[in-house]
Amino acid sequence: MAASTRPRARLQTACTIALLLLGAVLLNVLADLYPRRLDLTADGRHTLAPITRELLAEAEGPITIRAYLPQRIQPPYRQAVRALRDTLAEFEAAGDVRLEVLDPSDPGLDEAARRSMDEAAAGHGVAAVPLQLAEGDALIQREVRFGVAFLYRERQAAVAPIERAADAEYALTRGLRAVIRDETRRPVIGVLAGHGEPDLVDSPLATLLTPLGDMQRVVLDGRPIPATIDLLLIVGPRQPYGERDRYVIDQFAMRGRALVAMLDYRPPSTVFPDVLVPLETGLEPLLAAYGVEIDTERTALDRTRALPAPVARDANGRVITVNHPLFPRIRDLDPEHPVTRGLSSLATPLAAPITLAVEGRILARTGPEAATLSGVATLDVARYAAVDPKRETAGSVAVAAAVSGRPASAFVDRERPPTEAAETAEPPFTARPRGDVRLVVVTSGTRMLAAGENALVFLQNAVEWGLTDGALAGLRARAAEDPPLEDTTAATRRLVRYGLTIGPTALLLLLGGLRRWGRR
Amino acid sequence: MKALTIARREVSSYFDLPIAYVVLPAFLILSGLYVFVLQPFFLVGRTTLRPFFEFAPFIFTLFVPAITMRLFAEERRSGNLEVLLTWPVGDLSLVLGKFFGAFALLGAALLLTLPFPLAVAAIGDLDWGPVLGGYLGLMLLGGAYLAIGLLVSAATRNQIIAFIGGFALCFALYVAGKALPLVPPALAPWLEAISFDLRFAGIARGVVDLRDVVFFVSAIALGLGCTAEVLTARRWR
Repeated sequence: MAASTRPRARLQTACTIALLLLGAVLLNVLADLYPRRLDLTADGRHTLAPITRELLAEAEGPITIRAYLPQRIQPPYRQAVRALRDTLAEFEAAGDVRLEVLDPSDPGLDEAARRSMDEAAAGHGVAAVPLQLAEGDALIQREVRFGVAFLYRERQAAVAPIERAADAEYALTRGLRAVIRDETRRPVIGVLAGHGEPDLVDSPLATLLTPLGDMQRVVLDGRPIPATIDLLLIVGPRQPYGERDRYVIDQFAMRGRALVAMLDYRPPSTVFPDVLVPLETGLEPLLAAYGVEIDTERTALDRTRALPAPVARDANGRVITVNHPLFPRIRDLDPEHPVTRGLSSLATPLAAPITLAVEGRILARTGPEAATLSGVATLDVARYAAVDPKRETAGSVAVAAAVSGRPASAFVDRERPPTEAAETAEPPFTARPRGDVRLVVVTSGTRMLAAGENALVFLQNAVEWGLTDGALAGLRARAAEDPPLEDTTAATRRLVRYGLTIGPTALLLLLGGLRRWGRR
Repeated sequence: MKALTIARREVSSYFDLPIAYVVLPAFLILSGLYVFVLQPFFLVGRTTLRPFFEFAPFIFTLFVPAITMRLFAEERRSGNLEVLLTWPVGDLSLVLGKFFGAFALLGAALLLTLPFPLAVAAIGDLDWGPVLGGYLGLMLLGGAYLAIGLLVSAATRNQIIAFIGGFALCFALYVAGKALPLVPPALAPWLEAISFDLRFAGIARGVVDLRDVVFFVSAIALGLGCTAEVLTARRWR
């Protein structure tokens, strides 16, 4: 009896397990077909932002979205593809959207279909990107169309590939806005070069800025800045600009264009990295004429909100990280301005104080216990441990500001420097801008860009605000860093550290002891 | 109902024996040490519990098999399982009872970590959404690990083998997502689909995605169903 039942029982077990497995797979397939998400975050950072919904509602007819998303893609794009797909599904649910998701890496496509898809994508402006793709058990490098095309009426705009899943909504909303509000011309970001500035055009930073516009190096050689440039980005010049350079930049601004200046006033010496060299960028008189005055002699310092910085050396000469008062963590950021909206903190190493002489916005200000110090010449952290009453002035200062308006030219009452580029006809002098000039100044440059993700978001927002109205800037900040901890005393930190390591266990043992005692 | 009676008995036995007072403190002290002492929590200075939610899935791969290893293996070794199987309780009820008992212990462990977010919220502007998501994700992930641990425990009479087998399976599913760049490309989508870590990471960001929830729930159901089948199969030996 048992002998005949056992095989049947085994078969039954196998069948049950197979059915369970099948049920689990089916359930997952169903969930995949009808995805639903619940965003628990306080600022709804994983839900469509109001600006996205507003743009979708503005459309007076269907928007076609053709997403070229290779499914057989390798990291780091894999998560980004999923995020793009999910966000697009939300676009589809929220507006009059016809969504077509295509897989250009699909091995099932025949040559003709592949070519046809490739030509269509190219026609929409979707770029071919060299990607690692899975083919069988091998990885191959192939150029594949990867991006999202938005088609609305006769307009079309393409969204370039993103690497971070968190950037999905920002990138897609930008594409959506381009077709809805007819902003399909790509702006040009001029990056000043030739005065010791870092080459941003060929740096990893370019991947953050190219979604906002094409980047172009601008070398000041006396000739006017090309008319195609919409915004001039000035980051960390090491040699001062001359009078003619100032004039060229001034006349660029007078076209109603934007300037973003991230300036260093205490760069390290090339021979002794701990020694700081005072520097004037030459832009100060120009910025002062627009109402932004910079005290280049002083440096902001904050002992209570000092950031860790790789500046000290141990006995073996190795660089070690210590909390440095000249690397203040700014928490007082303008919550309303598009450049700083949503940002919880910003590191501004070796920043100089700014004063606004016109109506504008202070974007970042040091903490209430901060100070400024004159004649800072070394990174030696020991020098800043105690207050120096002769050189130190207590008080919070601004280190970043934004101004928008129509200031007079800095050369309106001054002699205009002649051009040395004889072959170029000098355009007529403009005394008043034709449109609003947008100006963002922060007195911490290259070190700030190396000091955290929020600095990069600040830069992107500043460029975006300079080029457009910055309405999308808050979208990007939602994906940036978590808010900073409040200032705590050493005792609080010890309490948290050891209390949380031992406390829960002590609580458990206490409850266990009480339970035993109760039983007895 | 019978399952709940068994679960109550299990929970009681956890706190009568030294198990709860060894496994839980190990989990709590390691978590506290990792998040607040070994990590530069105050140096980084961010109001977040992300380090805890990155560490907990890994420590669960050790902690959960330590809970489940004895559940059936010990009963088998001591001969109690045969007695249990003669009770008027279905195999599924027995499995569910053991599961809910272990799940309650897991819940107690997570409950005892609540001082972590409370302390962080006291010294910063903590977003409770990702914290809630993280705890929900840990319950789901822990439940899936428990179901796997139970299955391995039911398949062996040796507690050590049950622990090592449970750990190996849980750890493999945990690292599946991290190993994506290293595996043959054809395997990558499959590994990504079953990666506990990637599924959990989504929920811990504060996004409860139905797909991730269904994945964990189906993994729990599959594990428990298979465990019940393993017990049923034993009746015929």
